[in-house]
Amino acid sequence: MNSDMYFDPVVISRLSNLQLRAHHVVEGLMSGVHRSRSRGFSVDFEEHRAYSPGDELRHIDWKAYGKFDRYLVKQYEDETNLYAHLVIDASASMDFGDGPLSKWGYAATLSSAMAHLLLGQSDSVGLVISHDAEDTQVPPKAVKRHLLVLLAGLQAATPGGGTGIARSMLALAERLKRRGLVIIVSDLLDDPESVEKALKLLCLKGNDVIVFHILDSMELDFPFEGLARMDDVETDRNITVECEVVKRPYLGLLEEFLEQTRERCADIGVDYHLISTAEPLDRGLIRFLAWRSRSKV
Amino acid sequence: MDFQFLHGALLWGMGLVFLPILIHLLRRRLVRRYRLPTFEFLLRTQRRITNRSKLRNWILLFLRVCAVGIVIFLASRPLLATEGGVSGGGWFPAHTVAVIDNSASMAFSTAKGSRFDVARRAVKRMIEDMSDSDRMSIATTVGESLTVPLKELKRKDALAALEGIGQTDGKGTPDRVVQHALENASPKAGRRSIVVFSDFARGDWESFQIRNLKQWNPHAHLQFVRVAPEAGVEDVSLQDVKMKPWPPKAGFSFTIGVRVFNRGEEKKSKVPVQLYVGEELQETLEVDIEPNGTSPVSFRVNAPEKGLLYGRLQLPADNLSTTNRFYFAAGIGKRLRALVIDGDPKRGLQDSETFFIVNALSAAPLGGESPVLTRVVASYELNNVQWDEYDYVIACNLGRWPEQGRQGLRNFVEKGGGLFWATGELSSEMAAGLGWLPATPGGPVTLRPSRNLKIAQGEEAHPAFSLLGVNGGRFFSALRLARITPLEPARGGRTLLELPDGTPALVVGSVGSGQVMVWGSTCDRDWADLAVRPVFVPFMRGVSDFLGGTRKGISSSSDAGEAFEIRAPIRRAGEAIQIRGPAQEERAIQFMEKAPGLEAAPADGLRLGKAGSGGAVAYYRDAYRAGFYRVLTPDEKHFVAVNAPASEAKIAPVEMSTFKEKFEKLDVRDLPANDSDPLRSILRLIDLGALLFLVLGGIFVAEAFLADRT
Repeated sequence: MNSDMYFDPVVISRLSNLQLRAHHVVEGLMSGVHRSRSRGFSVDFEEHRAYSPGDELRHIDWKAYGKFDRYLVKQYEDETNLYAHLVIDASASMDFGDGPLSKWGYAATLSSAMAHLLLGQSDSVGLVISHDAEDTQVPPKAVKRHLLVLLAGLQAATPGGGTGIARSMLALAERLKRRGLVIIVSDLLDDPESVEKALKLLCLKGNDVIVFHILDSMELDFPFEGLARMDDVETDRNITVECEVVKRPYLGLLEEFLEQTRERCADIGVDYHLISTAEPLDRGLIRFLAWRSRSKV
Repeated sequence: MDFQFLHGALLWGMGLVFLPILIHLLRRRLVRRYRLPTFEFLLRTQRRITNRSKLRNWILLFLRVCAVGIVIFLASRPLLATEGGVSGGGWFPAHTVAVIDNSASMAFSTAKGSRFDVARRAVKRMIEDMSDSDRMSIATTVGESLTVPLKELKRKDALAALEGIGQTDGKGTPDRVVQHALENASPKAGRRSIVVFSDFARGDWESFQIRNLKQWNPHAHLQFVRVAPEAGVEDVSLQDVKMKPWPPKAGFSFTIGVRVFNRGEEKKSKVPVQLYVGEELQETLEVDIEPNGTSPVSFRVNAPEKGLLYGRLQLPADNLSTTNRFYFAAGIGKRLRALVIDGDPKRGLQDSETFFIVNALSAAPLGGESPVLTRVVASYELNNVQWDEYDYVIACNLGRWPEQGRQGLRNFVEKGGGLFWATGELSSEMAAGLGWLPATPGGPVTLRPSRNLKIAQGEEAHPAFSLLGVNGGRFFSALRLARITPLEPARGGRTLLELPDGTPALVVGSVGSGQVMVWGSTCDRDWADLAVRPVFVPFMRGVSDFLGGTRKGISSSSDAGEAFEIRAPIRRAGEAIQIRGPAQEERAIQFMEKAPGLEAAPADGLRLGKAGSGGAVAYYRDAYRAGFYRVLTPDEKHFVAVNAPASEAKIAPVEMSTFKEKFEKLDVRDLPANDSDPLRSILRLIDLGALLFLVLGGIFVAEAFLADRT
């Protein structure tokens, strides 16, 4: 398989299981980079597993051998290098997309792939799924099995309702006790001031913040033609517009919004990435890894 | 100002202007629905641009409607018609054909001269108004315009050409000249106009139909200008001139009947109608004429014995003097030329038949001259005879003679010459080659006792006996015939004289166009005593008139504007003759050989008229004015009377309503005689094509600009 196929949204969209998607993306990425595994050292016992040739003898739990008459090797919870929180916008505006993956699908896939990566490197990964009023939270853990929990959370979530990404970020900022990495995956269609304020607070608390600004190509390019009735996805409002007439000013306003967001993020030290759902998924991951290597976290 | 369209039917396509509106409405019905998360941006955009956008959209719609309309308009070739002349500063050079009616009716006088003068002044004004790049052609309804391609003239040349045209007394041919103008309107010119100046008199225009124009050129604008209609038709004219008999017989009287027509609305009293014979006033009659009525007038005139008869009827001058004169001319008593062939010339002079015949034909009153010129030739000279120099031939006792001469005689007769063939002892030798005669002579028969003759029943009125008076048969009952060649009529021959037992003695019949008489005896004293009887002279003169043509005069008249034909013997081919017109202008024309025809050429002198073929002919094509045209030759003088065609007396204009029915989309405008600026009556046509093209370009630019802005 061509490595590009790993990240093609069209291909990804054919994988119904989010775990498979995450695995698919990460495997594709790692096959393109390197296949080494980053291992931490354990401090807390996590579980037993059967001995297999090659395991060090010192890891054999002799007490368990006395009890169960089997060679079992102690597994320890890896040491956590990083506390990472994935904050994913699940507002109705994310349930939009012209391509094979909606913004939500793209965000979920990207997030799960990053979780897969982080957990593979023994980082703690938590999840916040942002709705307009309350969030769905999964506390961070560094065990690999936690990925299933995270993915279950993502799969259980259904985008809908208004945008609450700023509120979710503020809440997260107040909750966090330790500094860590906060990854925001959202279309940021919220009050820009609130979003800025939340991002500032996250940064002030010593967190590294990455924003993956997900927008659909239809939003970015406005390919509509003729007379069209436009419905707001989050409210009941609609307007009838001459697409050719409004296209240019619309794109101007959007560009202005993106530029402001980019500048605000840069001002407060947030790593900002605008991603179109038409882009291959590895772009986001590469940017993430690039940031990771740059920050040496 | 008025709009005109070369392709007006295309304006039906103007309905297409609703196409953009229709498309606009259809598009509104085809609204698609989309969901858009970035709706807020769209909302803000829409709020910002709504008002401007709506206005722009309406402007765009308007521009598109205009664009479609202008395209349809352009295809229809719109012309903006304004007063002020056909040319004068257009974007493209204009070619104008000014057609001036110079027929007789245009001589009708107005306060500012004749209608023709008014028309010419208007054309002059048009020429002066021309721009340097414009061209003008001038054509007339009577004259050479029809036969030569129209020249595209610059201002100076056009003025010179205008000076060169004149009023005629002829009949116009508007169909032909307009057709000619349409065909000659320059295809290179941006604007082509044909302006016809006329009084639209019924005589010329009644039969005018636009469909008569073979090749209608829609790109050449045709407009009609009615000249000085306010001048009316107040006029008295001569109509229906009838002359009986015409041409008159030499020495006989003839009558001239004419109707004097009063077109006015007031009764005309004591209108003098004058008859001039030659240059002398012969008689004046006065008539009273009711409004729109006619009064007949009749004159009696004696024709001379010989020579030229010419004269005129004349009314006092009025608005249209052309119709107040009627000219007539005829040649009277022209001498016939007879060829006498002596078949037996060896005999003594006083025994010869030719002696008696020539003497009979040459008889003349004291101091006068014979109406017949004779020439005698022997049979062996026949090969050298110029047959077309004679009116008829008298052949006496012909025996053997050359085949060539025999064939020449037959051709002469078939072309219209006359032949009197007297038999005799030698005739039997000849009969075998004369099977084309209307009678076949038998062998000589001696009559014992001698017999007299009688006129065959029903033939008493034959022209051969016309000079014998009443009961001419008595002269023949006293004759004595001792010898005869009994005739057997053939090929339609009719017996004129016969023996008491019914044996034909004189048979007449037609051969081709000629007349032949076969006499079953001799013209001397050998076989009969006819030659020494008193009846011989009037009989032979009657025969002469019958075979050589009557002694009636030769009418010489023609219509103004028509070419008249002058005929002469073939020997005169190549000879030039001078014609002097009524204005004393002289012009030479040349006789040319006419293609062989069915009729004989005249034996002598000049024949005037249209009929005839063979011989020589000369045409005079410049008889545009009424009056006498004198044919000047060294030996003879002839007058040709040229009158305005009778139809030119119909000077009332065609009803404009009728005219406009014929020319639904054409312009008919009036040009008053006292209009200080005649250009006001002439339409200036501005081709809006270039202007509309620019507007269309502007619309496209604006449309593109607005569409781009949106």
